[in-house]
Amino acid sequence: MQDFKIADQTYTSRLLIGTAGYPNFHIMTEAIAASGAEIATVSMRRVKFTDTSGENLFALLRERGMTILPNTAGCFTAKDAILTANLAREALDTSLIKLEVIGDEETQFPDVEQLLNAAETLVKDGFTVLPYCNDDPITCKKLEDLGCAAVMPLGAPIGSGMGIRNPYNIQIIRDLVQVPLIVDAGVGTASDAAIAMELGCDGVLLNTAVAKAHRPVLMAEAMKKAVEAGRAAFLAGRIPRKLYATASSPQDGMIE
Amino acid sequence: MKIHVNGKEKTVRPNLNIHDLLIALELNPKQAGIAVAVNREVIPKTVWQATELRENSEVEIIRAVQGG
Repeated sequence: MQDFKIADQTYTSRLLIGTAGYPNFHIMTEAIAASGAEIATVSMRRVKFTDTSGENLFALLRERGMTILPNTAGCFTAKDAILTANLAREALDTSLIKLEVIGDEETQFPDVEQLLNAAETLVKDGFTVLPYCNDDPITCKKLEDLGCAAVMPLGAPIGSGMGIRNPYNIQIIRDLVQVPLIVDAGVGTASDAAIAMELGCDGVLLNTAVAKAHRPVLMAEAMKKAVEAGRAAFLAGRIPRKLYATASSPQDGMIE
Repeated sequence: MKIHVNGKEKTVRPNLNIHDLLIALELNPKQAGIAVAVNREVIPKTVWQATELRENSEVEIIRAVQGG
């Protein structure tokens, strides 16, 4: 199976995993390992001077050879997202950025105008921009034209677990863009991830579906298999849908 | 002089540089994974020692945390 490439880096796994919301640090570590993901997302936040946990996410992910993908979660303006991206680049020594510019607290839907503005600036500043965006083909095309290294349309709102709500748009986006297409957000269970891959996506980015599963490590393993199965099915090519049956067993040589 | 660090007011000695501020905050300036912005401008590690803070400087010290 062909490898999955972001910028100049090749990855074996097509599953990208978030690091938020796990019951504890240990389960997170186990789940990431079970997922087989090679790229993990992190957020950039103020250092807490009272933190005595000794947990160092950056060191842990780096030790495991993971590619760290910082996000700009929580930013509502291009200005804030650009500053966060620059802080991430300085702190984590990476030009990768999962660009999120949110337009509304409740839905967490992207603010397309701010997103496009931020993407343009960050691409010019040498970032490898992976934008979280709406499942809108035109927005995705514009992001590609601006020089983004991938497009990451949502399947459904972040953390909603609603699956791929508009598979037809994802399919159109697939036809329209050449850069890697990654469904980011909305996956609730393994079949959702498989559907995304069957539609021709290059990868799936998920977090809550694993972190909040009853058994996160087992769900991580299920997601790994689903992404692999979905990719294989896409490459194999599904049969066309028909309303009526076509018998699969031979019709001749029947007993009389 | 008064400065703000991660949104909280602090009184520090005049012309304190970023490197010494981190030490005063019990943060190791050599540790990987942290970044500093002053008045919304990222200050690269290489110039922490040479960058002095001014009265009312707004300092942000950030690191990677769990995120999606």
